[in-house]
Order: sequence, then structure tokens, then C-alpha cells
Amino acid sequence: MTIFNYIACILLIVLGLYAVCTQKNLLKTIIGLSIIDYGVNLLIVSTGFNDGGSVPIYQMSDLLNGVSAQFFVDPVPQALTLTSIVIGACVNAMSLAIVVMIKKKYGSINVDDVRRLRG
Amino acid sequence: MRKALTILSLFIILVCGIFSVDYAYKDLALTYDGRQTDVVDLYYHPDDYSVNNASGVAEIIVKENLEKTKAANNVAAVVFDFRGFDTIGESFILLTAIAGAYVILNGYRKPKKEEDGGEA
Amino acid sequence: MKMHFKEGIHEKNIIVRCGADRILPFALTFGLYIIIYGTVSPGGGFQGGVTVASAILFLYLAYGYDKTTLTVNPEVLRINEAIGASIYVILGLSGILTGMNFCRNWLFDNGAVGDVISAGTVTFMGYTVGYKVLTGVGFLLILMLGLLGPDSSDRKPVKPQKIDPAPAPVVPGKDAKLLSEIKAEKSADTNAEPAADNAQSLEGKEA
Repeated sequence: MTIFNYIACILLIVLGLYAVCTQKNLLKTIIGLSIIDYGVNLLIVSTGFNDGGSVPIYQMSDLLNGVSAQFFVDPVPQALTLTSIVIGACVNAMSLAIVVMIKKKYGSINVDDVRRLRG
Repeated sequence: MRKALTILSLFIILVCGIFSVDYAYKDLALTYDGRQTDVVDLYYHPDDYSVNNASGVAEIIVKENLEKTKAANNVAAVVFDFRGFDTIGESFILLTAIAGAYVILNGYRKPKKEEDGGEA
Repeated sequence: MKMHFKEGIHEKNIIVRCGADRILPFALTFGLYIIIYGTVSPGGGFQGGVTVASAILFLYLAYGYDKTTLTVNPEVLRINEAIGASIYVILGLSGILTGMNFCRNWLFDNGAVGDVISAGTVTFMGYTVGYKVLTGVGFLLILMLGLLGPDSSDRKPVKPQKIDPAPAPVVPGKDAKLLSEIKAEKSADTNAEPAADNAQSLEGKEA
């Protein structure tokens, strides 16, 4: 039942939005950004599901003996989600590097202290 | 006051999301209905399946994969052969992110090294 | 509670070090298997690259930062990542050299379905991407761990506490002293104190 997959995706996206909007600590904001990424990736993969289908790899020993069903799920959304996962990891890495330099320059990670741009 | 408004707007987004997901599950058509393609028959007799009346990209890819690439893994064939140009972009994103992190963190240690040199 | 340190073995880390010694070859070979059989079984370049890069975490947990940089040099990793990206573009350009479009699979007829090297340029592009992700993620890990780990050079170095070695055992025959000499030493120590007390009491009685 993929309806549960879709509801879990919506819950993850809203949770991530809540973390980005209301947290004062910068690290918690970045975690919220990553949670939005995970929810979107799960949504993309779940749209290509066929009920009772098998993984899109030609394993002839399984297919001939009837171990798995004889039609595939959609391989295209799975291939596009791979790229999206790598992009999420890269955004995470760069934003964490920026947080390290903010801590070194301003002395704290609290958003209220970092507000004024000092020259 | 501000926090109550935030929570209210997020709750409205959640309810709208659940309604739209329910509509998508029941009324929208599947992207690729794989039940019309018998995979074992496709492996042994690839000429019986034609792509003239295809209902989407996924059907063309699954039907033409074996004669064009001979790869048993359909997902790897899509990532590296049918959409190989996207993988170049992804490789360069990885390169840019790591180079950017290295450049940003380059100024982290220099003043402390001078301090240590003066003290020790 | 006293901890006796033998020379060369740091007793606090020995469980973590033994566990990492057992798991590290498994992580390396499993990741390499995922990369090489990319077109036959589930996996591919990206997945296998990240699995091999997790071996650097095991090294860091068991041995500390300095020995990890001795084993895996970050400058070499940084250069090899750029080389991996360039080889991918060169493999794509080879499609133009044979007269067809960019990123064309021009080797597609060189094996049966199910072999390791069966899919033409798909296999080689998978190897190249696996190599690139391996070196790139490994370099990123070493970079971040070097700045923020507990034994980085930013914090002041903790001096190891010196523990007094056990006193040398008395070997009979070498350091043997006569009983009379030992008694003379003891009486010389104890004679000084009551002499001071007697002097004070005599002065008190006189005054």
C-alpha cells in the first residue's frame, strides 16, 4: 500500500519545514534541510511502483523458477533519485563548512547573535 | 503569537498535502504499467515487442535496453547510457562541493599556527 | 584504581582497535565487489564508492588522526579525484572520435548478457565514477576530521601522565647491607627528633 509511503513523505517535508522555520541553533536548521531532501527522494521513488513487480534487474534464475514476479517496476525514477541523493549530500557538506567558519568568526552558532553583519 | 501562526500554517500545509496525495494515489495513472510486458518473453524474443504505440519513456527504455546495451542492470543502463549527460553534471557537482569545502576551511588554522610558533 | 601501561600498547583503545582490524578488510572487499559487478547485480559506481570510503572512518577510530594521514595521504586523494572526473569526460568524448554523438555506447557488442565486462562503455564509466566518489568522499572525511576531531592540532596537547616505574626489586647478594648498618640508619633518623623535644623541655624547665 503505497498510500502510507506518500503520507510519510508529506510528514517528513512538513517536519523539515518546521525545523528550518523555528530553530535557533544553526546545526538544527541544517538537519531540517536534509530531512526535506529525504522526504522528496522517497516521494520520487514511490511514484514508480507496480504492485507485485520485481526489481528491474534480469536475474534469469529467479525469473524462470517463479521466485519473483515477471514484470518490472519503473526503473527511471530510481535512476533520477541517485543524482538527487548525491546533490543532497553535497549541499550538506558545504553548509556545514560555512557553519564552522561562522563559529570561528562570531563565536556562537545562535542565530540571534549572528544577525548583524559586521565589517 | 508568531509561533502560533507558524504552527497553524504548517498544519494547513500538512492537511492540503494529505488531500493531494490521496487524489494522486486514486485518480492519477501510473507512470509505467509493467504488467503488459512479460520479462522472460522479452529476454528470449525481443522482436515481438514494438515501441510504436508507447505510453511513456519507461516503456521504451525497458523494451529496448537489451538490444542496445546488453546490461542486465536496467538502472545502471539508464544512469550511464540513456541519461549519461546527467551523470557528468552530478560528477562535477561532487567535485565543486568538495573543492568549495576545502577552500572555505583553508583559513581555519593559520592564526593559531602563528600563535603556537610564538609561544613554543 | 591504578592502570599499568605496558610500553607501546595503549590499553584504553584496545577493544576498538581489535574490532576495526577485523571489519576493515570486509568493508574494502565488499565495496570493491559492488563497484566491479555494477552492471550485473544491484549497485554501481556511487554506492560502491561510498562503501569503500567508510574504511577511512575505521582507521580513524582505531588509530587516531596522525596515523591515518600517514596511511592515506590527503594530497594524493585530492589530485586523484580530479583525474577521475577527467577520465569520465574523455570516455564520453571517445564517442565523437568514432563518428557518433557524445557519450555513445560504441562497445556494446563485446559479451553476453550477465558477464562482468558486457555492456561496453557503461561498465568503464561505472568504474571511473566509483573511483571518483571513493577518493572524493575520503578526502572530505579526512578534511573534516582533521579540523574538528578530539586530537587535532588546535587544542592544547594533553601531556601524558608520568607513572613512577615500579621500584627495583632488591636482589639478595648485591644490595645486601649488614643489619647493624640498617639499625644505625634508623637510629640516626629517630635520634634527631627526640633530641629536639628534649632540648625544648629542658629550656621550659629552666625558664
